[in-house]
Amino acid sequence: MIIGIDVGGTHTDGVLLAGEKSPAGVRHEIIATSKVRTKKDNLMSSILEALDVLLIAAGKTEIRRIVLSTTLAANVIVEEKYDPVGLILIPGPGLNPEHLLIGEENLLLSGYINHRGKEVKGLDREELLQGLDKMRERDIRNLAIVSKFSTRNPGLEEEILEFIREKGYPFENITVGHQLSGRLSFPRRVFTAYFNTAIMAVYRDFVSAVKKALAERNLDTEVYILKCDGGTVSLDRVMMAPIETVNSGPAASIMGTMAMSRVHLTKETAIALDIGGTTTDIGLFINGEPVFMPEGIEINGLPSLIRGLYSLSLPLGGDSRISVVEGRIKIGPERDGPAAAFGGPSPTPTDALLVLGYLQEDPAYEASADLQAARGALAQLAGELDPVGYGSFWQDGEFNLTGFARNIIDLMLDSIVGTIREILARLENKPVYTISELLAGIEINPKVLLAMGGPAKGLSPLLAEKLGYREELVPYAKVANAVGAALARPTLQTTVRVDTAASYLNIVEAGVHRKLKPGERYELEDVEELAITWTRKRAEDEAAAVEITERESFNVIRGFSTLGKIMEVKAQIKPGLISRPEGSEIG
Amino acid sequence: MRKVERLKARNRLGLIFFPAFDWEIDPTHPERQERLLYTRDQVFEEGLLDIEGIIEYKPEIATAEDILRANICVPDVEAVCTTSHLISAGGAIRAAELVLEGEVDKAFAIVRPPGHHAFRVVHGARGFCNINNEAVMVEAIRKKYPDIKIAFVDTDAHHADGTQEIYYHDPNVLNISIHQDGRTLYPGTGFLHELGGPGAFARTLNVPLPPGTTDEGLLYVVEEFILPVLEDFKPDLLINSAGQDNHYSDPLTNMRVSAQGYARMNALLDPDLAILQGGYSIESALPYVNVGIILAMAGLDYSYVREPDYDAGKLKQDRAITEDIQRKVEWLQRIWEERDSIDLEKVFGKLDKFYTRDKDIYYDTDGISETQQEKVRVCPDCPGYILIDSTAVRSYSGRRTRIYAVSIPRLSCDNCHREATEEFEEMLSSHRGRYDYIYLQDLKKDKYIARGPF
Ligand SMILES: [Zn+2]
Ligand SMILES: [Zn+2]
Repeated sequence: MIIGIDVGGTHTDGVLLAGEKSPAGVRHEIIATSKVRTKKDNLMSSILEALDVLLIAAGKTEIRRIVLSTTLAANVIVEEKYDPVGLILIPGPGLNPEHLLIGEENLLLSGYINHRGKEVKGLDREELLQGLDKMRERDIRNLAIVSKFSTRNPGLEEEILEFIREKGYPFENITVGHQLSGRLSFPRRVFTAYFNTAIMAVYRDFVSAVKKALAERNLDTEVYILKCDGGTVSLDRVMMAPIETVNSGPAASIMGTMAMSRVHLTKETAIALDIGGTTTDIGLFINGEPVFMPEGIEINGLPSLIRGLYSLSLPLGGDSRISVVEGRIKIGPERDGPAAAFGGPSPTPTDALLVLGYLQEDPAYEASADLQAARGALAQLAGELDPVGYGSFWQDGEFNLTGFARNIIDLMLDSIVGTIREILARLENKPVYTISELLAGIEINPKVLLAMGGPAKGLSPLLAEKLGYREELVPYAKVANAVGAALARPTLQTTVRVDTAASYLNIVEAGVHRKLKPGERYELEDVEELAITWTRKRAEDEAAAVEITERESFNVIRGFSTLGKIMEVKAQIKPGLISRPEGSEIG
Repeated sequence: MRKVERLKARNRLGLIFFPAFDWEIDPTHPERQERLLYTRDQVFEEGLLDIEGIIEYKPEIATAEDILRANICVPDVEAVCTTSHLISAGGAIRAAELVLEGEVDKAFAIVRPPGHHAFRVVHGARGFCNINNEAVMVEAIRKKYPDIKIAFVDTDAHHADGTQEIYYHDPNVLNISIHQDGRTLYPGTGFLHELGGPGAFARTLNVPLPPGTTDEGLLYVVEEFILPVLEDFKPDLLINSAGQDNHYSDPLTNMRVSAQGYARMNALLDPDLAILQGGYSIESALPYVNVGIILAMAGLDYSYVREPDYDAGKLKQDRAITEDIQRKVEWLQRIWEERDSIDLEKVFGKLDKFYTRDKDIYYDTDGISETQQEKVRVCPDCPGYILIDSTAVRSYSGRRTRIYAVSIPRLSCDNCHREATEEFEEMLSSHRGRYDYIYLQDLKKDKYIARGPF
């Protein structure tokens, strides 16, 4: 059996899944769920509480896999619950590095790697020595070392690391920039390295606490952590780049939608909507695959190199407060409490849906909703409305409450539809750099609206109609995140760069950077092969399905002779499910 | 976390970056796939696209009709123009639209191939240019803003001979070109006395710089001459044709300008648009020059942008060069001051109904020799119309093509328009035997006619 636990802001949800072999593959069924309050300052106890409920339900059956989606990294960063981090930067010429100095201590060193990966200027050892001594004096234990173009040549970063070891400096947590990602962007590398170092100490404690807890329960189950790219990483490897697990919530939700719907099987292009109390989260699948954000995610307001699944959160949900501002209707962004129909203080979109009868067949709402309270709360707004713009709501002195409710829902729909269209337009207008791509154009035509969440039942048919999509309600929204975590597969990316003109080979994320041997020849296919092999090797999975995501090849010509080729290939194990739970029969 | 101010561009800058990684003139040509590779790497690694206020846009693809407004293509657009040219021109159009519509404050089109060596009549490729992407842009803009005043400051090391030729008689386009002296570099033109036709005197200004000119000389010209001229002319749109081959590492030229010089020049000029032209030191210059220009245009600190091998000591300008530049600037300043009082007949000789120029144009890229006679109607009410008789000989095949063309500017008066269309009809009916093709480029009526082969 498999366990997935999703630590959310207010609740921690757990789910126990049982696999069953069928001709179509393994299918999973939800056996038990658990829900506990999240204790912000003790996530471990919340996780264990949720876990123990599931372990009881599992009885003696073996637990094969536990996956955690946690807010640990995000909490540590937002609340700055970490020891000071020293930044060592080797920016070389370019942008003024002032805006990058986010370390509690910052050391700028001379030295420069250029865009071809050539070391133009070496380190100044005296400068380095003095800088490191100063960090030691100030009792800095955490360090992030980043040079410009270290993805092209990690030499300077490694030299510093070596120097620190040689001289026995007492740094405990160190991140070197080049292993975080194969992508170019010095500022993102600096910020990512800083945050990675910042959370290392807390994460190490967390990993040992999890291991201890498992031992106490006599479990030797593999434990994985969900990353924000929708993939998992094992507890043993997470310390290599713990920052990848930051903000895994949206990924859990999208992987949950993938698990609970048929989108992965039908390979359709779909918009996923998770309509909650205060927010509506929008995700996107293209041909059944979740889509990555074009750039890395933001961490604490700063851009990073960490890949994340595309997700956009609108401050608009079933419990958003409806108010009238300067005579006009305004929805959200605040939530005052539950809907008026459930004892809340303010009218909400849920109240409007109830008044319109759009939620009536939903037993969850029917039983306890106070329709009179909903009507009353909405009617209270009537007096504040601009009599000109909303004059049509009065007929013979009578206020048309239904018309008003429909107007509120239309506003909400328009806002969601507008955002979806914007997202699609932004992705379609993404710059391309070849003529063939420009001519081919990008067109994203979703066919399906995958909706989940409390108010989804009322809203999604209306949304689907406005968008011209087919509507599909995804069940069990409440545990979808935990299911998504439970069934997510490991993901991994490898960047291989071969420059036969400069005669070197780089396997960026693995930290390999070496001269080509005499007689060593590469064509683009060989580089692709290398990227695939190394991805499997790093994933410790010889059979992993690896796809090439980017490839480019340029002849290097000086004068009239071809000196060689620059080839770069990116390969990945993409996010996916180890299997999917059985659609409507889950119980 | 130490609080730092996130970078924010003082000017909202639109970037149209289209390196056309799948296009080359031929594999070892300077205009090859690799040209903007290192620029992309540098721009990405510096994180410029993450800076608030620097926004990347896709280029448009210009249409054949867009091209026809600027260039008379022989025999037709398809024959002289590939998709890459349509995208390069479309990139320039997009940049101008973004600025004119107020979406951004400034725009920089880093597109290839360049266009400033393409003349109005195009028989093939010269100086790596087939069609004039800047002229295509200007004509696209003038559809919406017919009397807009435009100024080009072309800072490519090669004389902007194509752009000069197209706007030689157009008083609404000020065309300033700074370049390496034509006696020492292709295309061998761009001398002080090339000042525009009788209807647009001093709307063409050339500053030929001696080989070896450094940042000092370039910035001297900008500060002492160009800025005051722009102050007088007051263009609605100022365009920097941002060729980058004045760089000290450029393999095709002999100038010694640095990335700092380029950045500072853009900060001083403060152009609305920059459009990449030449520049073939693709690894040692372009990455740094482009980063410098982007930062300068965005109003950000560019003082840290330096080539890794930059050595200020090595880039000192000779005294003789400084003095040569000073003399030229003085001469040009006098022309500019006297531009409205000068006796045009002293410059151009007796002005009859037509002012005639004979041109020999060599297409280095395609090996074509063209001889051309251009007659412009001298009209007190408008910029006149242009009659072109052009013969091109291909050096490999020896094939000759002779064409006749009538070009009517958008702001021509009704009388000129009638005369010009009658001339076109007359040529078609009575003289077609002499020509392979006859063209009408009627910007006033937005009508483009090609007849032939006869
Ligand atoms: Zn040039
Ligand atoms: Zn006239």
